[in-house]
Amino acid sequence: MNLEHLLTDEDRQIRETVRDFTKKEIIPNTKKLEADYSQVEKVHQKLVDLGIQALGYPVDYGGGDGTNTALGIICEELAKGDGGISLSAGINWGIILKPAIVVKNKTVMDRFVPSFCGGKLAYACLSMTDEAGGADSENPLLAGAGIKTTARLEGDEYVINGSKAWPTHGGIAECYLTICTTDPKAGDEGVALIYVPKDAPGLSFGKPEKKMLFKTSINSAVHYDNVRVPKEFRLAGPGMDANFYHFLESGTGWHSATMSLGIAERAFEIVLDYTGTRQGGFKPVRQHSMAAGILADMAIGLDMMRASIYNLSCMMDHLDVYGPPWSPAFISKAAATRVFASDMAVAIVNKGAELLGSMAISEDFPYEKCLRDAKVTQLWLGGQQICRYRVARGYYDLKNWA
Amino acid sequence: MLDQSSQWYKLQYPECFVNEEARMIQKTFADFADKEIMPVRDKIDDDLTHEEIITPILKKIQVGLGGQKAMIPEEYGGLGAGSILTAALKQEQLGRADYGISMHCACTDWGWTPVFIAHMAPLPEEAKAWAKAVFTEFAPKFTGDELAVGCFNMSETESATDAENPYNEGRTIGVRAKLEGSEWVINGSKFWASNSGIADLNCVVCNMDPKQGIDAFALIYVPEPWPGVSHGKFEVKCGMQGDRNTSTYFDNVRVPKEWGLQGPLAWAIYKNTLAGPMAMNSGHATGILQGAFDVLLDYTGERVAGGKPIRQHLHAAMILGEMASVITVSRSAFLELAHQFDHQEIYGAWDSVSMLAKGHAVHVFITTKLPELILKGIELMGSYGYVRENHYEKYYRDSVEAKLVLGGAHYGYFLTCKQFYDLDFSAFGPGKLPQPA
Repeated sequence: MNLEHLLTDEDRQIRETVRDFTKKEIIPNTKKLEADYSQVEKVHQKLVDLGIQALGYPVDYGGGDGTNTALGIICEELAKGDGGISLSAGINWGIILKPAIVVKNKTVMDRFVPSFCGGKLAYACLSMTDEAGGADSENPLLAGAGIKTTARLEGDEYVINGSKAWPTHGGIAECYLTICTTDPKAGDEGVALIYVPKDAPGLSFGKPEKKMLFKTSINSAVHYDNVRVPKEFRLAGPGMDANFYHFLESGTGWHSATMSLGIAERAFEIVLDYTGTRQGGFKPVRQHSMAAGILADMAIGLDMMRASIYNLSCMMDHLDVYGPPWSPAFISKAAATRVFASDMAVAIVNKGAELLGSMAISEDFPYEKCLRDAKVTQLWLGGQQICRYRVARGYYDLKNWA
Repeated sequence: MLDQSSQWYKLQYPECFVNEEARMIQKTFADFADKEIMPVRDKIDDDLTHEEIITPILKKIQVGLGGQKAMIPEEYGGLGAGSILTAALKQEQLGRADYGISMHCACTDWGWTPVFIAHMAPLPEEAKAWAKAVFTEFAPKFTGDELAVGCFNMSETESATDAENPYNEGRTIGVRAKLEGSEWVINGSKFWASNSGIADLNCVVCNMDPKQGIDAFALIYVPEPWPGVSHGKFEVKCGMQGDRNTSTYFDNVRVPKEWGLQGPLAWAIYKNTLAGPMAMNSGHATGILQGAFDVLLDYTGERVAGGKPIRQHLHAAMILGEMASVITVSRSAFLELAHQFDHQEIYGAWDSVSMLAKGHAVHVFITTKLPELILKGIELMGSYGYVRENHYEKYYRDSVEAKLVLGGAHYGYFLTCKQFYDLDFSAFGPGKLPQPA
């Protein structure tokens, strides 16, 4: 019951559709999905069939011009079933190509958008974190100096060299939005965002990472060895590329928060059900005031997450009022939402486990997946501490965290 | 100063909640707080008589800015209350400067809330007549040029939060009212009500016969001074001096029948009266946290350690970032809550199970995080943090008190749970109190 008046009938319909899909297609099959990626692809194809993948792309290309609010709802609902599927669906929905759509880079749109609107599953990839330097590449105060992957303009082509660690969909994506620097000393002017097609010569991939969580999404290193792409595949050019890079930090943080919410909501549902039937002290566990206090804390945390996430979704849909989205103030607002949602999700899931006892960690019970999946939302995208620096930077000139 | 043209402002107070009128009122109180309260905020809690600082400030807010007539309809000379959202924004700005003063103002409004609901809501003629009688009799004092104080006099020493627990249906309320001819006769005592002992008008929560529960529940307005009404000593608290608390004793207090309302109608108004403050105190609490954060931001920007301002150290940035995150989220939540209270046609009545849960959820979160974060922040100030003139310790004291009002967090937990399952937390039943005989 958060800001219902801001939702359209279409948003509500999407919520019902995806909620129903998650209950029928994901929740009963989470073990199978985590064990066999071919089953995950079948789920994704069903989402494509429902029109979810194409929704985020321009109508001119066969998409639905979907809003961020709609995407937030989709990711929240899918994350109740599986965080990895939610992550992939959000990325494929348009987050990666959105910058090109916003700046109207027709070359990029013509080359890549049709793959996502043709009724077939297609993956996109944000190729951001450098193997060397880690979170330095995401540090806006380093103004691009922390980015280790280079792009050199030679005639009509950019030549890209470097290696990225951890990109989601590395090795399976149609396109790789690659964060590069044309000159580490040039500050933000040197930041270049370049779309690289999957079949570009010199592009290679590592093996998928073996993870304890988000097993249904693939992360593989991406290596660039003199990869050449047309110069038009660069997003917008010096300056604006850096702006969009900072915007991506906001957008991906918001996306992370929607997953935190869905995972924590699923945890709450499980604990609520279990404590309603489980007897302790001659009555259902949840009739004990101590248990009620924990359940209330979980519900309270969820409500606060929803208030903050839906609020930010609305702002992202109205950047004419609330933008620009790359300003320290906007990044601070988005980072506040992400850092709060991640910590709250982990706190909710951990606290709820106390009411389940050992059932919380049983692989025959759905809760252990929540325990695993919630944690990643604190770890990715530079982690919680860097995220707090982003929040602080909205209030004063925090000079350097390098 | 609150810069309403900044991007920060737009992101914190989005236009989907805050309209032009609300912005104007918010700015008025923000500027007032900065100009009139902030310079003396370290001295307020030492003004034990209220004469030197507190009363003059209250007079400027309540009379000069019209605060004390906010809940009085225009036809009785008042301002006719804007919205819950506007009120919450006002309380946030006052709370940013001083919680006691902010609470004083809010509780005058709270005293008027039952009759304001009776006046405004689509309720039977009986409620309208009650509101008319009370406004006609008492509004003139609050619309004049002198400071007037209202009080919602509810809590009792014996029944604690049981009095406000809707599932007790008023059966634990110890103050007795009976009708004798054309008068109510009231006996019993109340404890803790904000503005008690200094109020010109009390709304007294009574029960005529506990075994009849809701049917015998009554809300009765009692002015002061008045025969039979007396008080104990003012409570000595760790802060929040602007808000007076004491016992109120009713010894055969007689008031005209028209000043009271009895039965399910009164009970329904009572439940709604208890819901509204959740948005207000969430606003107070967010203001307290913002006030503490602002002090910390300034101090850590000027104070040098390790060769640079403290806030340039990453550990300090982390703490400041954590506080700013919670302020941002809290503000989103209390604005959303206030907006929902203002749109019952979408979100349901204030006293519906879901809105009670929502109100308490937001309130519990903000008021619980508040002292925890302020205590964390003091680590950046060292001993300077607990020196009165540096302004920070006051916010910690305020935060502790903000956490405890309106039934406290644990009462809020139970009402939050009620949205999801049939939690039994009535005071009556096996192993608990017997039903009144």
